[in-house]
Amino acid sequence: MQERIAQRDTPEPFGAELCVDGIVWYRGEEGKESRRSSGLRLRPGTVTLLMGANGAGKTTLLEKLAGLRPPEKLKITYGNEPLWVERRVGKPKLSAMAMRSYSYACQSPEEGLFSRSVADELDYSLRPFHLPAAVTQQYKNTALSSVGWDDAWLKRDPYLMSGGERRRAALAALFAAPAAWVLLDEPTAGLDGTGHDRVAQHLTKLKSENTGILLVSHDSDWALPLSDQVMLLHPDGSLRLCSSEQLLAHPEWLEETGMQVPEWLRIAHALYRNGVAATQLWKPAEAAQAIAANRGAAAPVGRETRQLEVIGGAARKHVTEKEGSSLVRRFDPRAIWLAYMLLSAGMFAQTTWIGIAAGSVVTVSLLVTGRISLHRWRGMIQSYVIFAMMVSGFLAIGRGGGSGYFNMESFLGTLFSFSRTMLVLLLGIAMAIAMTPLSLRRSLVQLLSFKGRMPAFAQKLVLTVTLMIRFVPVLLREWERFSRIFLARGKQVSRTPAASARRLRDVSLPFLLSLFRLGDEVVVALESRGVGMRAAPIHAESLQWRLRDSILTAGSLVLTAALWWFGKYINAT
Amino acid sequence: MSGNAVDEQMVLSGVSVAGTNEFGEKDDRLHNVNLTIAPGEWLYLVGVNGSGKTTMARLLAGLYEENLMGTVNRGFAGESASPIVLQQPKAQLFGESPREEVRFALEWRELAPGSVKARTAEALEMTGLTELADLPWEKLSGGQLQLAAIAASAASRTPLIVFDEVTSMLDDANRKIVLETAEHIHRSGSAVVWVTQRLDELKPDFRVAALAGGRIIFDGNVRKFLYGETGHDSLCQSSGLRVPYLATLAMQLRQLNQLQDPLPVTAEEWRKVMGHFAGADSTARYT
Repeated sequence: MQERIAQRDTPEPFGAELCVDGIVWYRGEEGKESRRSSGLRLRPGTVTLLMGANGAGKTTLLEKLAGLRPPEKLKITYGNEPLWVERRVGKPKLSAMAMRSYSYACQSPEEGLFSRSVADELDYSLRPFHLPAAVTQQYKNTALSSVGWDDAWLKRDPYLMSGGERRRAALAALFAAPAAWVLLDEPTAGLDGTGHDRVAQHLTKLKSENTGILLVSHDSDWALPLSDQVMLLHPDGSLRLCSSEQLLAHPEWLEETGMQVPEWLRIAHALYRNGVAATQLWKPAEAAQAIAANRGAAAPVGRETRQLEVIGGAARKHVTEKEGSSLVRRFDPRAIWLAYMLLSAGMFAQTTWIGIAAGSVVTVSLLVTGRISLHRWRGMIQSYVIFAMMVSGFLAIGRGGGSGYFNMESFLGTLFSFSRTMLVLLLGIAMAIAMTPLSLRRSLVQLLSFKGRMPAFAQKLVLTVTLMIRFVPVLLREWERFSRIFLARGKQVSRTPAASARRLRDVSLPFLLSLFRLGDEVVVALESRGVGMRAAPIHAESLQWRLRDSILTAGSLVLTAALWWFGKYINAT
Repeated sequence: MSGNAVDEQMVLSGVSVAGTNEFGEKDDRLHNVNLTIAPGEWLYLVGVNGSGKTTMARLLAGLYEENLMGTVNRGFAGESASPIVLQQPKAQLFGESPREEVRFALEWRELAPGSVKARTAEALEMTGLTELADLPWEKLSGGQLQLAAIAASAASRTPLIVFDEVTSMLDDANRKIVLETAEHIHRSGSAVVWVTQRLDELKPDFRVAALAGGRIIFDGNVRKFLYGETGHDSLCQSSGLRVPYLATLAMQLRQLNQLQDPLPVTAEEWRKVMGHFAGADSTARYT
């Protein structure tokens, strides 16, 4: 540790506290009445285990602490360095210095690897820290040995490795960064016994060097013995902070979070109440020794016990992501299709900028009345706008004829086609968001079948279209996931075009690979359930065309006619 | 592949699946595997990542055909593929709600149009999703998503269903519910292959097959796999998997002559032996 500090030439707050304000928390022994919302401090040189039920938000909290999500109400500080810096104009900005205070591994971190050698991956993790080459080399060696590897592995290509080896490469990249805090989300999921031991050993070593560790793990019998303290995350977002020994004494606190007390902890709890010390209980070999020594001795009294209650888990509901439901879903999918086709034709009939403006008004008001949010698509829409501007600009350069270098008419002409397409595109995205893929599939099947039969090629087409639409949100989430990994590792807080280009490069490769994996699993799941086995599936339920569907179709017909007439009228005047 | 009798065993004999390693060398994903599954049997399949258990799971489900050597007689499982439930819900949910999911799965099976509705309701009931049947995925927990995938897979009542590490991302409460649902499906007559890396899911007196390096290194009783026999090392260590806390404790106690075979595996068995260490008074609170 001394050595480490001496060699650092960057002013990151090593050995600094992680402070979180704005989260409701209380200490183990305190009741809920002592809840407060400031002053949660995690000390360096300790291991904290974050526990909570599925969907309670463990990963979200970890991502907020790493600056990978907007902090909402949280105020996060590493040492004296706030993670988000307020600015006079615009949104708060991530502090590059605070970002260098942690090293973060998300679930399945190996999926985020993108370099063609282990050495490049380690370099990539070390780059944000701007260290002299000699020091870098030392960190790389330490990182390799932490996963049981030597120099020979530096040249190996992660993409050619087995899954277990890739995970080791990712963990080495995590441990290479000389950060004051290590944040880990399920680091041992899928690791073998030796892998568990290795990670445990390295975490203990980091702890002795005064690194702070925050850990999420389902393997409680592996993680709890490693930890000094536990943060129990309740479904309402509040935290209970207690020592590992306190949890051993009060396993019922887990049930208050909606979790179940694991069997091993029940047994360990019983032994604890009968006089086996916590330090012995964390190691089964020592616990066995203590039991052998205690056997026959009377159980000590005085340790408080509480009745454990069994909570039924099936009825639990978790709202992980709130997305408002759209009004459009109430209509027959065929009516929506028809409306979309009609309106698109109306948009394409526009030949003037005023017509485009009218089309925009129609599109926006449809999105608003249908309660369809395009928020998550803003990145793609932005890219489209930039692309359209660039292409239009490029085509206009040097076409000047006699009137100069830049031809405005040509520029506007190209931009016009792009704008028209954009309106149709926006309506299309809105439709994809608003319809469930399976109802879309049913509507397509009913539209395309003739006398109750549908040709095989049409059926394949329909299934493909349905699956593509079904997986669009999944792909969006995957892209967001890899963007977060990129931010956590690269610690690139600037938003210059060069930084964006780097991001595009480093995110696309893992993203594409994850698509292949996903595709493989989708095929397995579909094939195993017999999809594609028979030529034509039976339809459990036919769609019903109701009055409101006719109204929707008629309404869009009127809108289209109005748009068309408007276009003509503008042209005439 | 021949034979289709409902009471005939599924037999894999001398099965190898060829593959290549990082350096382009030949490296079998499965090597000379012999395995028999009886109709209605429950089989645990364990092994670390890369041991060949995913290849094996897909093979048992009737999906793997490439680079295959040896003979596979699917017997009671029939010629067509058996449903396989995977680790990630996002890859295997195609509808927008549990009810839609089950219906989508049933539409592809040869059923009378009228029976789809009843079958759907039945599958939802079995997985405990009846009340949540029409909620969108965003409103369900990870465990409930897995239950929906299970409902869709079990709805067609196939003689075999494969679970490939379905609990690896679930907390203990959800894990228990998913396991109990699988056991319910098993009781209703389907054979179940339960693939896992977590040894604390194993119940004693069931059958477990352990894979390491593409080979079956153990095929037999769970208790014997976990604890070996007196004087012998536990076999689960040679599979490379992490030995759970309680299993380690049991073996340590045996070494100190505090416990005798058969060593405890289930909660009930532990409660019985805990009486020796903690007194009847303290164990009573746990029952």
